[in-house]
Amino acid sequence: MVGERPDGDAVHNRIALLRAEQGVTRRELAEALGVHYQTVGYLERGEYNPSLHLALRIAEFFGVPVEAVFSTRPFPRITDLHRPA
Amino acid sequence: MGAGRPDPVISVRDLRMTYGTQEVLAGIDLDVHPGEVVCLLGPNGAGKTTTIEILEGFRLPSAGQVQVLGEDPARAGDAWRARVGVVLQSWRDHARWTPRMLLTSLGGYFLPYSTPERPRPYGVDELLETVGLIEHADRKIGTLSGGQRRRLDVAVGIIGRPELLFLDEPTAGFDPQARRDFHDLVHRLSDLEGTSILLTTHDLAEAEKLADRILILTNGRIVADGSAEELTRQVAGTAEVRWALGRERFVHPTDDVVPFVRRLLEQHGDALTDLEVRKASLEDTYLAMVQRFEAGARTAPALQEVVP
Repeated sequence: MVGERPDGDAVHNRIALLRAEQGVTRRELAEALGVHYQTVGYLERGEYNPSLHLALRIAEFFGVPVEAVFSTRPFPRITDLHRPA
Repeated sequence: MGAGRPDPVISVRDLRMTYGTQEVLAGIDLDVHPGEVVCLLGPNGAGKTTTIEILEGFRLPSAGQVQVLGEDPARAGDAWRARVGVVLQSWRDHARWTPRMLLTSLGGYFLPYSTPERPRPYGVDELLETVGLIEHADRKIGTLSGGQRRRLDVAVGIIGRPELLFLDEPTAGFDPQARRDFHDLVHRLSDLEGTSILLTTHDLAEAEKLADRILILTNGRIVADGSAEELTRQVAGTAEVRWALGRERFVHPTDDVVPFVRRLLEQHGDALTDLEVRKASLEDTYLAMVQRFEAGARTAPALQEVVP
């Protein structure tokens, strides 16, 4: 995974995961948000952060609260969640 | 656009073409003015090649008025044909000739139509140099690469120093350098020789670079006519603003770019290290227009069925 950046401002996201789960292509998401197709890739890889408004619209699109899509800390991996403590 | 403008080199009114029961051209109007480079865009099967073939005189329309260099292409004679250049989608013969032999031979047919203002044909060496084939002038045509062969097609099309040139997908199969060379050639023909050019392409970047005016043809109709800039403005759509604050990069889609950017500058001032506004490209515009008209054609009859 992407390492923590020295400035500590990294925003982690689960756009790719939600997109795969809901069977949405990058192009469909791009059209729904009014951004370029490549921009979805930039957002998923964390190369770009969305504006607050765009972040809210992404959460709205997937029908989940914004904190389910974006976090200041890395999201736990699903395999870790099911590992016995 | 003044009244004193010279006559168009191509003038078409209500052009229709039907193959059997299938209507391929459903009433086309178009003008091409002297020295203009006009690009015909459209999906496969939209009627681009049919339109060009009618203008070249290779195909008879079902109905409509067509004037090309002041004559009806279906009836025009050899003197008219000498003033028109044609580059078709592909032709593969003369494999054992060399480019020099072929161009010398074809050029001979244009000699009787030479005038002091427009000496015909081009000098063969000059032409081979222009299309970038001078090193291959004496090779067998059958041994040329696809891109070299296409350059020869273009040379064949312009050997007679045409006043009007038709190019049907001229750069299909070109590498980026060959494409750039070809674009330079088109600019030279239109800017220096005053040649009027009508071309078809699927390469939207090419249309944007070459054309003074773009016509979008879909379902046998011209649905848009304007410069790349004008067409893109018609489908204004959403722009994307990207900016950076040091290492952090951000993106925001908006319809009101200027107020958004102004707020961004007010808010961040000197912390703002990069700023970019990306508007819809000609490709976005083209796809939006074609989808709109194809959807219209599909849904219109369906709606009529449900209306009592």
